[in-house]
Amino acid sequence: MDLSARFTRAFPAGPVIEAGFDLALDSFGLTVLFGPSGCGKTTVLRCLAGLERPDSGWIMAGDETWFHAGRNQSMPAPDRSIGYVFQEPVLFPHLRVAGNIAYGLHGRPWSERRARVAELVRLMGLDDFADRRTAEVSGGQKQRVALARALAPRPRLVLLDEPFASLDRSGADQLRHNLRQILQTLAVPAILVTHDAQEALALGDRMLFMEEGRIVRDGSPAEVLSDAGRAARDQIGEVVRVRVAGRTEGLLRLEVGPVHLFAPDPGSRFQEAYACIRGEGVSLERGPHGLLSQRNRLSAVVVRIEAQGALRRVHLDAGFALEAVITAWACADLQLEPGQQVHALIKASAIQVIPIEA
Amino acid sequence: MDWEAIGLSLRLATCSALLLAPLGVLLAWPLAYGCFRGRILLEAITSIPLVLPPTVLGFYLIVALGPHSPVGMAWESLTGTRLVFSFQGLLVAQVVTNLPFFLQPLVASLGGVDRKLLEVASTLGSRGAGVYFRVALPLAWRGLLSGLILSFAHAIGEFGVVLMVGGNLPGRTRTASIAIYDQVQSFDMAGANRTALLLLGFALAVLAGTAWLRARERAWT
Repeated sequence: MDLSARFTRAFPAGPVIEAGFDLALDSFGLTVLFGPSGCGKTTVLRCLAGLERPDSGWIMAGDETWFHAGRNQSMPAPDRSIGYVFQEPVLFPHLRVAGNIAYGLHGRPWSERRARVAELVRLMGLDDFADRRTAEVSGGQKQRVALARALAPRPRLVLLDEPFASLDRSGADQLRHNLRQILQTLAVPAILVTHDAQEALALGDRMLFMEEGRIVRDGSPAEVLSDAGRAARDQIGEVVRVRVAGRTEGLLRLEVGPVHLFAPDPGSRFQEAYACIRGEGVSLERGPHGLLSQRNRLSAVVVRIEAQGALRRVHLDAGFALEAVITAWACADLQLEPGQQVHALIKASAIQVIPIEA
Repeated sequence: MDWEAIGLSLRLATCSALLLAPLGVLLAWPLAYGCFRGRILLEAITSIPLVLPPTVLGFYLIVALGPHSPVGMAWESLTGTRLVFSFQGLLVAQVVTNLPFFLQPLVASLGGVDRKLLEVASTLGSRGAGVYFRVALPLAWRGLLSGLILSFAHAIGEFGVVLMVGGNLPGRTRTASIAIYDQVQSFDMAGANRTALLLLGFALAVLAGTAWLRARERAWT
């Protein structure tokens, strides 16, 4: 069964939000709705959940009409079978952790409720907290409870609105690390809203890229980000999919086709990753070289040079697309022009490795 | 001290609070969350006793509950007694008069419940009544309690409407506040003083209690 959405939603101040995409509902898949703050991501999610009514268009889930402006039809939120997790943990303060998780199981047999809550408590690592009041658990645990509560009634789709944004770093890292695995275990498709490119790369199977209220690109996160606008690319730089070829003294040896890169090892066991290289961390060299502190020295060809005020953004082909941001002065000194052979020097510490969560 | 009048006042206030609670809880729902055209009118109607002179309210209640009114006639055919100048008539009058004292703190509390909690409840399958009774109302319990205390206290002290609808029948409609009036009329200042002091102490305790509840509610939210 597919979810098919084509709708618009306008606000007095701000861009018209236009959403158009299809999504499989019968198997796991994590779709990232990515874009800068204020571009309308949350509105898309709220319209899907039935918390907000679009102005025009339609939302269909298989044969079921969730919204149809032409027929003046709108299915209420409780009937859509959607799990929703807000940016900040929104828990019922009058219920304990287990009571929160069981909320959506109201009306089902007591034994079923108990078994489902126990299953989710175990899956979320909340075993020691089930009987606690919500005020007695940390922010990260609260968000786990919110996720467990959303998943308990076996929703057809889970909508996650920047669920890590309000958490401290360790809470966010732990939940981020488990999220894919949990959703995969329960075979629930999900849409994750984020403006964090690294998060999108680490978690997403598919990325919908939103800009000024419209979905402008749709594809794998690496493809979309490589093709995305300047603002998104500035966050992470060039994204290259790599394979781990070896680990030595805290450094990873990464393979990109025939090219090898060295980068700091973020720690966890993984074989596939994305290497993100920002242009500011890349220097260029022509001619013979002496001893260098940089671990990565790659042969590259200048593809084109883009002027940006006093800076030059040099696009390179090093077996994969790479950028170097250097001063106009350095560019003139090196007499760079398209087609020229250079060496790209990258400090290992300037490469950020994002493991691809299995 | 006119213990009979004080007892009647307590009985009347307790019964009126017990009737007000379900009625007020049902009325507070559309007042707090309703999106319909008549909401402002409903708000105005339920608040009228706050601004209307007790004699005017009492007059309309006599008209509405009197032996020639549909309500009065239906009551008389059912029970064989009259509503006006009876405990039951006083009870109806107290419920109408004290409704805004119950509703206002409850509606304010309901309005203070985080909207996102209500939205989450609806995504988890709760419809309007489910969201109201399982989330909104339990979280607005301090408003509910404040409303109950205020309406109870106001029922204890109500004078004008009680005198209009119930008159001054010892043991049947003569409440504590009417007893004070009687005691002053008959120059029993010491007796009036004792009953008045009792009501003053009671009022102070009630106001301190509701203020404490409001302070706790702010700390909670």
